[in-house]
Amino acid sequence: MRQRQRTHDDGDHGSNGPGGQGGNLDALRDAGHDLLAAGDEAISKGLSHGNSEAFLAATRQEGGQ
Amino acid sequence: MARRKRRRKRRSARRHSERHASVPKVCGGDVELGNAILGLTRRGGTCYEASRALLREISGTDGGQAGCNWGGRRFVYGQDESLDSGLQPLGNQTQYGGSSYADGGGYFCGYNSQDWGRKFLASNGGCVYIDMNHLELCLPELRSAYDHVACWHAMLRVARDAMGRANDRLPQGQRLQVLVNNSDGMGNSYGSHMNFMVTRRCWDDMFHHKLHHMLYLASYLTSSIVFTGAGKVGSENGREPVPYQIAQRADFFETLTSLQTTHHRPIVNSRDESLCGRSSGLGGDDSLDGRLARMHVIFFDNTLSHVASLLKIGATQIILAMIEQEYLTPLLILDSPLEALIAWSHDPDLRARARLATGRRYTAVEMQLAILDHARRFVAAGRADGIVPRAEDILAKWEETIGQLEHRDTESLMGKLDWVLKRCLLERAMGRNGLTWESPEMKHLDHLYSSLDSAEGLYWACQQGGVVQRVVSDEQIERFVHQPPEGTRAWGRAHILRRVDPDSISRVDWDSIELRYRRKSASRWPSYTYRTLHMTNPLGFTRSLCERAMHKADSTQKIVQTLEPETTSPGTGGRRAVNADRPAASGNAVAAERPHALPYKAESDAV
Repeated sequence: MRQRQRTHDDGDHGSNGPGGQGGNLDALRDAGHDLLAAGDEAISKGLSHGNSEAFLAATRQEGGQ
Repeated sequence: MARRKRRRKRRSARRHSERHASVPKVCGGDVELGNAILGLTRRGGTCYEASRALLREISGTDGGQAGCNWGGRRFVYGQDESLDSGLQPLGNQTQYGGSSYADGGGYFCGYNSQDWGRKFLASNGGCVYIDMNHLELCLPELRSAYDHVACWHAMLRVARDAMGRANDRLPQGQRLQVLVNNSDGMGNSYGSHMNFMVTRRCWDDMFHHKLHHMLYLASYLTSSIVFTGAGKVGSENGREPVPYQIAQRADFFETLTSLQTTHHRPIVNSRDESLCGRSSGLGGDDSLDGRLARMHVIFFDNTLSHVASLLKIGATQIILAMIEQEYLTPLLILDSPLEALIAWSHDPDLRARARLATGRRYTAVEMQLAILDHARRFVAAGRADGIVPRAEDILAKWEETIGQLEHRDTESLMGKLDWVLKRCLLERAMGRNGLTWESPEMKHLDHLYSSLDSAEGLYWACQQGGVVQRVVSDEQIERFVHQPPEGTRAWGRAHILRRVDPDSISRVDWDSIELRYRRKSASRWPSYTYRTLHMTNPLGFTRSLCERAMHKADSTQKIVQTLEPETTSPGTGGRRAVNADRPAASGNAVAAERPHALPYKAESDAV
């Protein structure tokens, strides 16, 4: 059986390390930004419909299992 | 003397082997959705109307359970006028506090608030019904956690399509809102229950003989919120206020273990309903249905992220296999899982510590790291082979995710875990709109994250943006909308429902189908013969076992005869029970006799 290496060893703060890690970090940040930007339009649309309190009252549920 | 010694050694080896026998971790799920009709005002909410509007739009075969069903009648969405009689409840209050609901024939029936209108799906072998006025989606039986993710999303598509059709029928100004979450923020919670096949011995040990087994499971579940949590604005159920927490359900767990699911909820649920024929309970029942049990896990949140959903099932499969084989350590048991749960859930910065029984104090991530280390050795020793499909891949993903949690690598985790993604989206909205965590808009967005409407839900917007990490493809998901899993009895169930005359179906359940045939009779009253096809083994009635035989059969009776050899047994009213305990050739393979099944390839490969 293969032994799995941990992604980050105890002494290695991989994503903050020097050298080759910088490119990975930029890519990660870009992906993160894209992810959040993808939600921006949906958030604006959701909030634009008006009364959040009315929405919360209307979506009241019954207790389930 | 030497012979006696050899005999003792053989007995000891046999006992060891029986004790550590393990069965494939067949899994499923029964998930309640939040549902309401916006624009319709009812005192106490619109769950009743919303759930029925959704159920009406889903085609399926009536389960025929006692209560509100004709039994065997197939309801086709939009075409059964009886269900168009409107959404107004009729009649009187029942003992459950609900109202009788009449179908178009004016037939008043009993009412079970926890199981109403059950329909089994000939498309994929799953099931839908109404539970406490929530539409409940029941996944068919699956072997692989990857398939579970695909099938879960497939069932969401079924529900979404139903929502679309139901919305087309609603008058102007009304709209169905369906939320894939677990609480309304006002103290009402509903569940996302995951099911796992275990040996009867494992179940009995956990709840009757070996407390530390149950505590180990509780400790794993509690710390698993770091990847299974769906995130929630605020707190409920009388807990201390918090701006944001990791898990939706954490506030509602009030006891360590019990049968309850609707109040006084336990971290480890002890419901004993194997769905494999009779539940034997304690004792030496040697029949198949006495060997299997179902672990009914009510703990988890509803997750949408693929990685979170994969780990929820896959990591739990591994942990239950470890418990089944008694590969666990009492050193990793929490002193108070209930206290740990609240402490960990209420701290999304992952710094809170909880006390173990040994006195050490761990964060949730540290707990998971320790459990993961154990799981890694278990899998490396080959002990998950044939039990947990793709255990190594699941372990790798688990390891990667916990490592990123350990280093608070938010950018990586956003694409994997719902609570992290939701928190980042909401913090961004807060900053851009001048809101605080206490603003009602934040709770509104919390709900919208999980909206089933793909044009509205924040999760779907992120998934469509292509930056949420996927473990199954759209094609794999779509396949499970229309086809059952091939490696479990779900395949047999779906294909029998497709082939058999609907009027011949008297009753459908997870582990049996009761058929009826009209008998020739001189009397003017109809007379029927009933025959039950027992499907007690979740690993029986697979495609490989049944397809060829079913293909050759050209009638309902021939299908049943082919799948199960008939045994006449005493009965009343012309009923003949069919003996289910037959070997593999009949389609009812005994998985429990093969503790290490052949390697299984998941129908869904990783994307």
